[in-house]
Amino acid sequence: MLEVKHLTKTFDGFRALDDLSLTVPRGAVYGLVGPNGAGKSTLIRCLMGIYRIDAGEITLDEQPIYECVGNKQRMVYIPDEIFFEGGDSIRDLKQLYAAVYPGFDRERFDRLAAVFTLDQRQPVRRFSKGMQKQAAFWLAISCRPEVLILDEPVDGLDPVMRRQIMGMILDDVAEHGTTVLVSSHNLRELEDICDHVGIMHGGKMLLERSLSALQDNMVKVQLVTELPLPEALQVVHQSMVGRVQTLIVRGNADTVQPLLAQCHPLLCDILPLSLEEVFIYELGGVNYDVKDILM
Amino acid sequence: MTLKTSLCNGGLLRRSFVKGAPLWSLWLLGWLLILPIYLITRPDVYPFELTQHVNGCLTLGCTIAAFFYGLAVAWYQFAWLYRTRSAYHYASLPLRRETQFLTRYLSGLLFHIGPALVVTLLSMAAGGAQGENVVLPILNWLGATTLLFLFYYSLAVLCALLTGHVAAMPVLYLIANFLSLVLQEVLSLILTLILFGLSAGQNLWPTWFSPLVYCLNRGVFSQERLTNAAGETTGYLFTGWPIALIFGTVGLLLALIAFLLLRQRRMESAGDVIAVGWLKPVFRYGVTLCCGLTLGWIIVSLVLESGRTSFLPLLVCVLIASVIGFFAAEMLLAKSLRVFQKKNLLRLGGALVVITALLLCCKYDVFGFTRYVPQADQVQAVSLDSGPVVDDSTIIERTIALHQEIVDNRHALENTPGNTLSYRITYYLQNGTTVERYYHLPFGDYSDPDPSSLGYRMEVLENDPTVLLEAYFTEQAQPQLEELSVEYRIEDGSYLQYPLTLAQKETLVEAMRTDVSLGLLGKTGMLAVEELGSHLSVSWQYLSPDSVPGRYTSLSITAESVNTLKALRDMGLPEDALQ
Repeated sequence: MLEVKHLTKTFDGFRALDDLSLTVPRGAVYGLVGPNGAGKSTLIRCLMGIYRIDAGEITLDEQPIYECVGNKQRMVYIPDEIFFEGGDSIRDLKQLYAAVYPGFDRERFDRLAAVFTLDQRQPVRRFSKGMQKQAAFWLAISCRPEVLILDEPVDGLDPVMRRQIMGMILDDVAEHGTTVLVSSHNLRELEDICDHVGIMHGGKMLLERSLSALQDNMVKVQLVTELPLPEALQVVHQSMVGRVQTLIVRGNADTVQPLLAQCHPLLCDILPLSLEEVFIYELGGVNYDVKDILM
Repeated sequence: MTLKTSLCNGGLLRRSFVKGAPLWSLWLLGWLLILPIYLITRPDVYPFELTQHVNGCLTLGCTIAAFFYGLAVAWYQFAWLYRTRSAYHYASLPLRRETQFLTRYLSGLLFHIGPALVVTLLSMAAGGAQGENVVLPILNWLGATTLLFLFYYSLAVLCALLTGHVAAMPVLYLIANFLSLVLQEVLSLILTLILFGLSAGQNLWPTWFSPLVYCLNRGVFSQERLTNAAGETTGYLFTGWPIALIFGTVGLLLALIAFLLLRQRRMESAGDVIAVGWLKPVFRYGVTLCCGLTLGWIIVSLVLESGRTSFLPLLVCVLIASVIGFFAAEMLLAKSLRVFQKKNLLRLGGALVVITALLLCCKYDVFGFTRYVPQADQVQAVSLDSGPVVDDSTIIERTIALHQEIVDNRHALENTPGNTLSYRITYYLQNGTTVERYYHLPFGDYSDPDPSSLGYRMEVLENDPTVLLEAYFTEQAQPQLEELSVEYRIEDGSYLQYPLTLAQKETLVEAMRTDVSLGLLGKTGMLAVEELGSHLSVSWQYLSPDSVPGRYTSLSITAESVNTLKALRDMGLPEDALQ
C-alpha cells in the first residue's frame, strides 16, 4: 500500500503541498485529478523520492521511499516530460534500466518489440513525442514494477496505442496486482480505468474515494415542477432551460428521490454524474470557478 | 526490509564512460602526441633530452591542462543536475545519491587515469626503444598529473554541486581559482587611495587562495636547472611531490564536501545560479562587495584624477557600484528582473551601511595599518625599494626610525605639494611573515635636493655601503669570474672590451668590493656619481651557492672609485679609458 500522511512541501516559502494525505491500496488504479497548479506533479515527485519533503511521511508497505533503493526498485515513473539523454537509443536505455532495476525482464522487453515497433538503435530524441512516450512505456512495463506512477501518461499517444498500452497496464494490474497511480486531465479516460480517485486543489487533497462512491455522492436531476424545491435538498448547481431545471444535487438516487417527490414534479430524471462533472462541481465548492474556465 | 546499498553502479559507470568517450579520447590523443609519439619520432635527439622532455611536460600537464580538463570532466559528469528533466529522471531511479555521486566521480577519475596509464605504458616502451630509461620521469608525470587532476576535478565537482546552472558552473570554477587574485588586486588599488602606506598589488592574503596561480608561481611542477654529463646546464628536474600530495589530499576533501552537498541537494534547484540555500546570501553580498570594489574602482579611475584625498567621491562611486552589484546578484538568484521589493531595499541598505563602515574604518585607520611600525627585535631583515635583503641591525634600526618618522608626519606628507619619489620598505619578520609599506616622499628639487627631506634620507639609507655590498657582493651570489668583462667607449663611439686574466678579474672584484664598502662605488638615484667620460663599466654574472648561473649586473666606474681605478690602471687599461 502506498501511503502519504500529512505531507507538506514548500518552494521558497510557497506551500505547494499542504498537509496532504493519500492512500493507494495495493492493486488499485488511482486517478489523481485536480486543476492546474493543484500540486499533482509535485506530489508525484515526492512519491518518487525526487523531492525532499518538508514534513509528513511517504511509505510503500510501511517503508519510506526517499533514498530507499529497495522500494524504488519496485516503482517506475513516467513523467509528463520525458527525459532522454543526448544520443540515447532504446537499446542504451534498456541497458541503463536493466542495470538499475533488478526486476527488468529482458524477455518481456523483446516480446514488446512486436507492440512498439520502434527502431531500437535510433536516438530517442529523434522520435516524435508520441513515439517517445511509447519508448517510455516499453521500458517501464519491461521493469515489471509493483507500482507504476504516471504523470499525464497518454498525452501524445494515438488512440490505438493509448488503448493498447492501457490494456497492457490493466492486464498487469489484474495478473500481478500492480498498483497504478495516474495523474491526468483526461477525466473521461480516467473514468474508464480508475477504481479510486483523489481530487486535489491548492496543494490539499479535497476528497479521496473509490470511483463508485464518488459518483454515488452526487447526482444530476432534470426536473419540471411548479413548486419550490425542498430545503433539505443540497443543490450544488442549478440551471434552467425553458421550464426544465437541471440540478446537481448531493446524495444518491435513493436519498434524493423522496425529497424531489415533495415538489410533485411533472418530469423528474435522476442521472449519474461523469467523473468530469464530479470534478467540476466538487471544485466549484472550493472557489474554483467553473464559469471562468468555460468563458 | 533489507536494503542492498551499492557504492557504485556498474551500468551507470559503463554508460558514463562510453558516452564520455569523445572527451577522454581527446585527452588520450593529446598526451599520445606529446609523449610516446614524440619520443618515438625523435631518434636524433640525445637520450638525456628525452628525459627532459618528459619532465618538461609536467608543467603543462599538471597545471594548465589538468585545470581545464578537470573542469570539462566535472561539467560532463554532473551536467544532469542542471536541467530539471534530467535531474528528476536520475533522482527517480533506484539509486542512492551516494551511488550516483561515487559512480560519476569515479567515472570522471577514470577519464584521466585510463588514458594516463595507456600513455605511461606506451611512453616507457617508446623511451626504451630509444635506449633511454624514462620510467622515473614518466611515473613522476603520471603521479603528479593524477594528483593535480584530482584537485582540479574535485574543485570543479564542488562547484558543480554548489550551482544548478550549466553556465554558472564554469564561472564559479573560474571564480574559485581567480577571485582571490582579482579581489586582492582591486582591493589594494582601492585601499591605496585611502590607506597611507599601502602599495597597489600588495599581497593581502596567501596566494594559495588562487590554486592555479599558486601552482604557476611556485613552479610546483616546474623546472630546475640541471647539469648533464657533458657539463651543460639545461633541463628540468621534478621536485613537486610534497605540493602534489597536498593538492591531491585537498582534492579528496573537496570531493567529500561535494558528496555531502549532493546528499542534501534539493533537485528542484536545477536551473538556479546557486543551488545551496545558505550560499545564497553569501553570493548576494559577495557580488555586491566585489562589484562595489571593482566597478567602483573603474569609475574612480575614469572620473577622479587623484583619489588619494578624495574619500567622499570614492565612497560614492563604490556605493553606486555596490547597488548595481546587489541588484544584479538578486536578479540572478531570483531569475527575474522584478527584484525591487521592500525586503531587497532593506537588505541593500544594510549592505551599503557595512561597506561604508568598512571604508571609513580604512580611512581612519581603525585597524592600525597605517600606524604600524615593527619593533627592531621583531625584524629579521629589511629590503629597501625591492633591493637586497639586509639583516644588518644598524640598517634595520635606521629603517625603522625613518619609517616611524614617515608615519608621524603622515598628514603633512599626504598634503605636501611638489616632487615626490616613491619608496618601498619590506620587513621580513622573525615569525616568517613580511610587512610591506609604500610611500611617496618629498626630496626638494632634482637639481638641489633637500638633505633634511625624508626622500633624500631614504636615498642615503638605500646607498649605505652595507646595503650596496649586499646588493653587489652578497654571500649567496658570487661573481662568475669567467663571465666578467670590462668595457669602455673609444673615440669613434664604439665600445671595447679589455681582456683580463682570471687573477686580474679576482683583483678587480676585490678592488670594487673595497670601493663599495667605502661608499665610493655603486651609488644610485640622487646620490649617483657621474660616470667617467669613457663610460667605463664592469659587468658580470652571478653564481648561486650550488654554482647555477644567475642574474647579470653592471657597475659604472666613477672618478670616486679610486681603488678600482688603481687596479685597472695596474692591469694596463689605457689612461683614456680611466677618465
